[in-house]
Amino acid sequence: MATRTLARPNWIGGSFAVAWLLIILLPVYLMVRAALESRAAYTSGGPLAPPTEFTLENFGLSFELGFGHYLLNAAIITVGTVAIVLVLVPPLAYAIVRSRSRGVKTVFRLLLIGLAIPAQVVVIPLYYLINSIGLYDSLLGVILPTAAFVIPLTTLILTGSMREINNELYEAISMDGAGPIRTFFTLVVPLSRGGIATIIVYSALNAWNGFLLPLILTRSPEVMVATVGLSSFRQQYSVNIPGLMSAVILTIIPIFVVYLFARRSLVAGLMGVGGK
Amino acid sequence: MLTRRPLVALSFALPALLLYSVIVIYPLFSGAYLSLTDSSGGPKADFVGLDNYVRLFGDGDVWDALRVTLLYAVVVVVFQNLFGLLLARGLYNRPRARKIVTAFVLLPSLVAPVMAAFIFSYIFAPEGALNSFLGAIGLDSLQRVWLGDPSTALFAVAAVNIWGFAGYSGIIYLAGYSAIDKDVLNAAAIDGASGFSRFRYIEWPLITPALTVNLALNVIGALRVFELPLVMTNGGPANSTTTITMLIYRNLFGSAGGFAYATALAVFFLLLVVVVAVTMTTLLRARERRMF
Repeated sequence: MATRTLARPNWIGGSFAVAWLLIILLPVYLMVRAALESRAAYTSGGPLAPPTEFTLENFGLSFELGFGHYLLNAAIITVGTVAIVLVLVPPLAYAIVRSRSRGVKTVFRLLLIGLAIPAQVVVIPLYYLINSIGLYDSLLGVILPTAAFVIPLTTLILTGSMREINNELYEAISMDGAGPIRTFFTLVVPLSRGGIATIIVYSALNAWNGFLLPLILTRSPEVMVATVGLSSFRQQYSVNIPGLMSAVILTIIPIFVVYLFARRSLVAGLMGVGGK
Repeated sequence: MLTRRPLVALSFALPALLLYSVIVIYPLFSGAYLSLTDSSGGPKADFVGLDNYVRLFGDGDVWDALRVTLLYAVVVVVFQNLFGLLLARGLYNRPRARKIVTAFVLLPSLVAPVMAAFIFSYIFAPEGALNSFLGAIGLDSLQRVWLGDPSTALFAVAAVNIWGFAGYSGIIYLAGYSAIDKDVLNAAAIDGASGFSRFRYIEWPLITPALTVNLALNVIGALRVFELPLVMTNGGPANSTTTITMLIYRNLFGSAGGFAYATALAVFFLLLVVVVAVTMTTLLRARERRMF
């Protein structure tokens, strides 16, 4: 895949790639730099001056304001969402890929339209619904909708990877007398590990980065998540850029860590979407 | 086998479909009903037919928001794809550089839009990094209050979107490039085809599927933008960044009695997104068929 051709590499695109790398990393640098400086030093030096001293006091302030708790809530919502997606989506994708029934095919097409549904359209009735079943202002009340909204995308990704399983394998295991359930657990799940890893990453990202659903469906600080909490910090932080940036970093670090371990499945997921 | 047993297949699909129906489909329909009432959030609501929709078409704010949203989508889609293509074209033939750059380009797309919005609010601030940088290299005349000036605010917000997702588009284009048969590219190079004609006559037709996917994803993503204008500008200045999603949000939490009207606006918005998405994919698929 990554072999050179005889054609000379394109230099405009090549220089752009280098420039783009800088454009990506510069904001990251500015953010880290601001977060590691004391407020006084930041105010006197401005955003570009090389840092003179390093301090962790901004991170301390974020934790004092309760940010650690918001991160914990986001983590619980993320784990809950991933768990639900893991239980629900693989069987659905399996049914879509292997069934010849027209009903199931239609369901798949409708799910694809679901990709286009903006959360804004359903938040008001959803708020009533969650309220009426007593889940308003609870973590579970955020987990269920977050998982539901990520079903179309994860199903699309997973059906793509399940379609690659060779038909002969299905025939072989069927000759062995395996029913749908055994086929699913001993053949389909092990052979679509890559796709399953990708949907774990995507649903985790969606849950961790979610904003509108927790904004509408929660109210009290006990169940607030980092993205929403940060917006509410804004007043306290309006003159405290280092403090704000430290909270942003705390929220981004887990994503970077996941990315380190899951880059392959992320890229593979995207490549699967683009190559076909 | 599952292939011949619809009921078994259905039972595998059912749990996920159940959750999706309860959480997304049911609210979708009850929202559609709500938009035909004068509900203001309380239990009392009267059926008013299409009143909210009639009001919507006569509402100047809606047309302004529509204009802002479409302009935003065009800017974002054009630059995201241009940059994505440049990245892919620059990298597909450089295995080592490709490894290094692709290790980073996806990172911005993983950062929550809210967080990206905070980082860039600080960069675009009057005393922020961008203006300091322009001052430092002697371009003081270009300094702006980026987010406070109606002529630049929307583009500043769009820039964050592009920062986040051009690399994402680039990876999808790279996938398109790696599906191209290397022998074809080699033959063209030996025949002495120039870079531009190789691109125009070989690469461009062959990355068509990647283009289709990118345009569809980018347009849907851009139309749905919400957190970026919410955090960076709150729709201002002078409504220059009030997208449809922002207008829905404002009607929900702002003026009294906007509840049913906000839902009508949301239904209108859903139709807009679906119509644009379906039209575009249909056109692009037809284009793919013409090309092969």
